[in-house]
Amino acid sequence: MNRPIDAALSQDRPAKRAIRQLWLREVRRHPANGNPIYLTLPGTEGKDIDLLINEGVIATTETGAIAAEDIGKVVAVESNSEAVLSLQRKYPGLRIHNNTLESLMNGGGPYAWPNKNISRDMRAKVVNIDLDKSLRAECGEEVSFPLIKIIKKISQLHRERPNAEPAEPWSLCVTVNSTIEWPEPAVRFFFRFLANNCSEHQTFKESAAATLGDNLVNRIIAEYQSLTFNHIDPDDRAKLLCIFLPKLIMCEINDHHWEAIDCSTLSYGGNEGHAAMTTITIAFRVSNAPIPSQRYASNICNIFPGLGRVLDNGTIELG
Amino acid sequence: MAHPGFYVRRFALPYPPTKYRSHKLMDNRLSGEILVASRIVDYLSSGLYESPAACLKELVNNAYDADAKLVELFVKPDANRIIVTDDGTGMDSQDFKRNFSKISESFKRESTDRTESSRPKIGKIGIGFIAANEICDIMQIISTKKGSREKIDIEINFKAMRMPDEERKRPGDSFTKADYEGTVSQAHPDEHYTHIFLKEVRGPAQELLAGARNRGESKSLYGLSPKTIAQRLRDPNLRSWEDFDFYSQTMLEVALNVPVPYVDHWATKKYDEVLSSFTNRANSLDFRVVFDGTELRKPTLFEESDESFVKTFQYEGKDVSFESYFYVQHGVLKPQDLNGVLIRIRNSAVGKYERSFLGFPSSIGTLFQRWLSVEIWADDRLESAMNIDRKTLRVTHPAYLELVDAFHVQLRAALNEAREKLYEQPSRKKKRIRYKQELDIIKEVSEAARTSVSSVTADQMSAEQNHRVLLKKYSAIELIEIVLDVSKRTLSAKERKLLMDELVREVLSK
Repeated sequence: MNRPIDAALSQDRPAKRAIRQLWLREVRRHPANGNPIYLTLPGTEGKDIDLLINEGVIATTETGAIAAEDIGKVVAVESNSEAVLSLQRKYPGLRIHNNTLESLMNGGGPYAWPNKNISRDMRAKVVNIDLDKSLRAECGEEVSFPLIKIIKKISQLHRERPNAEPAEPWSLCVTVNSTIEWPEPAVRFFFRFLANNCSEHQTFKESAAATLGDNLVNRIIAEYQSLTFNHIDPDDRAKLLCIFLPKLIMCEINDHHWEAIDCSTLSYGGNEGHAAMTTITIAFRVSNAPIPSQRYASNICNIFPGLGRVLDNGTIELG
Repeated sequence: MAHPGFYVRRFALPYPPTKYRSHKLMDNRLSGEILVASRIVDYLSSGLYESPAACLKELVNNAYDADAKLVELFVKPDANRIIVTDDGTGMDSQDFKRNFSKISESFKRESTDRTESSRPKIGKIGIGFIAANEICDIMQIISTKKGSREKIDIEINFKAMRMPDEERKRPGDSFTKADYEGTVSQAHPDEHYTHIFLKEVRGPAQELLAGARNRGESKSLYGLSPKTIAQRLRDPNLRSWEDFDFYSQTMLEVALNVPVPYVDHWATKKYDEVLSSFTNRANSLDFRVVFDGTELRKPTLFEESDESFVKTFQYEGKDVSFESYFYVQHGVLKPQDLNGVLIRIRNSAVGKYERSFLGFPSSIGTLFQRWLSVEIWADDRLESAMNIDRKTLRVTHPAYLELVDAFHVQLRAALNEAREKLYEQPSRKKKRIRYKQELDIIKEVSEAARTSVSSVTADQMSAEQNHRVLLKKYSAIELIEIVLDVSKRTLSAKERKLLMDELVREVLSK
């Protein structure tokens, strides 16, 4: 079995190591009570699981199997059966769902929900969706992003716990290829969405201008109906995605009363044969803000302090 | 052990297993060919395997027959999906169609009963994969064969067999066991393997395998190395494998049955040499099974004991030949799962240790039967006596009958030896020790008496006083016993008889 995703996930270059450290930071952010603590799409190599084992987050037995008391702490999602076998060989006892994330969640629709066990696993303290693909857009009656719909459902599962238990803080990590290959309506949606936020939220506009420059922000506001990605410098394009993606997530999960208390959006790669990637980590807690617009305004302003780039040597450069 | 809820009786109504075809009526005589409808296989498979372990060992044995050197099983964390993967010869699409599309016919021993590497095949009629049907609803097979550029990825849906008859029936009165669909893709011709994914493992089997039905605080062997498992199995406090959780019992049952090696010094170092032919035989099969990362070894382990012996036998007979060993130790064997006789045919066990010793009268050497563990490695001729469940033998089969007779002769000899070596000899030894202790006491008493007497002048010491001194310490009976013991060691038989006569006369005169 030779899949590009496995090659991408097994990379041990400094930038990728730095990102795994961010995931570890999120795992440590939350108390380790209750399972699972980490849900991941690890590929066949499971480097992130290696890290959790090496850092003592998960214990293993003398044969390398996941220790009985830690079974269920980590949950993997992998659709390919042979990849499941590779993972199971590497980590006997690891809980693995042999399916796509989308199928497990019964799609992004609001009516069909996963069963009890899958719901439990989706309520992991850290949900890490590490993809090598770019964000896919679907253009029907309206533009939608299937991945974001899934994230929205996951956030709702976190909010609505069984037996009316109170919602607990959690973290979301998402990594996608920075390439944007969307149909025209999705491109239009992208620019309009950014333009609206810049128009409606002064703080957001100022922060965006500090990152992208006044010129580009003004262009977005003025030309959102005609602007295309071809008109924009590749570096700025990556920055735009870094702003758009968390903003879109904040927007979608706003109904579920989550407050982003910490957010990093970093770009990396894009050189020496490595694909340009965008990675986000957001730590959530239940928001006390009663008004949705207040919550949203606060959340999108939290995006900017964590914007940056992971350099090839693994250094994180913010701003 | 039967587990409540595991059996699933699928068909409530009996179905005629035979039908008549091409019958003809001639001269008032009716003749014709009786064919077995393919559905009979459904009946055979239903409840064929008494436990999930029986199903798993069937799949492992299939891998052995495919010349695999390594089989890996993955059951944890929750047994909702079980993976059995091997590095055996594998299958291409033609093999798959041949072996799976009509399971009532078998090609397992079509041309030879040996594998390419000359292993005697364990499977015989090709129903091993029905084992999968017993524990799951969906089986995915990914396989490629050495020399072939095909990789098959096929999913068999066993749910189909639980559909109503009219939906399951195929033209020609053939019943489909399960529908399958899959793909054929490119593979490297050097690759060869089979990965089996048992998906949607059925509730009771899943609960048992995952250990969800554990009783109380059961111990587990999950994630342990063979060395640690050996230590746990030798724990003197372990009464039975049932002290472990069901997951571990499954692991042990699989290990007992399939052709994996023994643990080093399995019957203690003392018997390494005498049992080397059994150890070497199992080890030479070059077959490893790894269960959730734990390499399996035969769970036949005996504890270090001075009061034990091992006896090996070989039997060459008309209908059967076999080699066996008897491990006997003083005291009840623990864990009790090893007490009894285990028969291996073609390197694979038939069921578990059988505690009636193949119908040996329980009245003979009752005590010693519980001290005994026997393995019989029989030759291929016994195979035809094996029932389809692979856990029992046909009691009327000539090979079985001969084996039983020969075995019972050996068993009698072993029990006699146990009685002599482990019971009577130690008993005599204990008596000797006791005599020696008594003699020491006498010496001590004599010494004390001498000391006491020497302090009194000879003219003061009358015979009467002497008697009083001794009678203060011992009763008359004890004194007589002491005298007799001393006489045994110091007097000849003739003198002893004389002494006895005098003593009897003396006692009677009193």
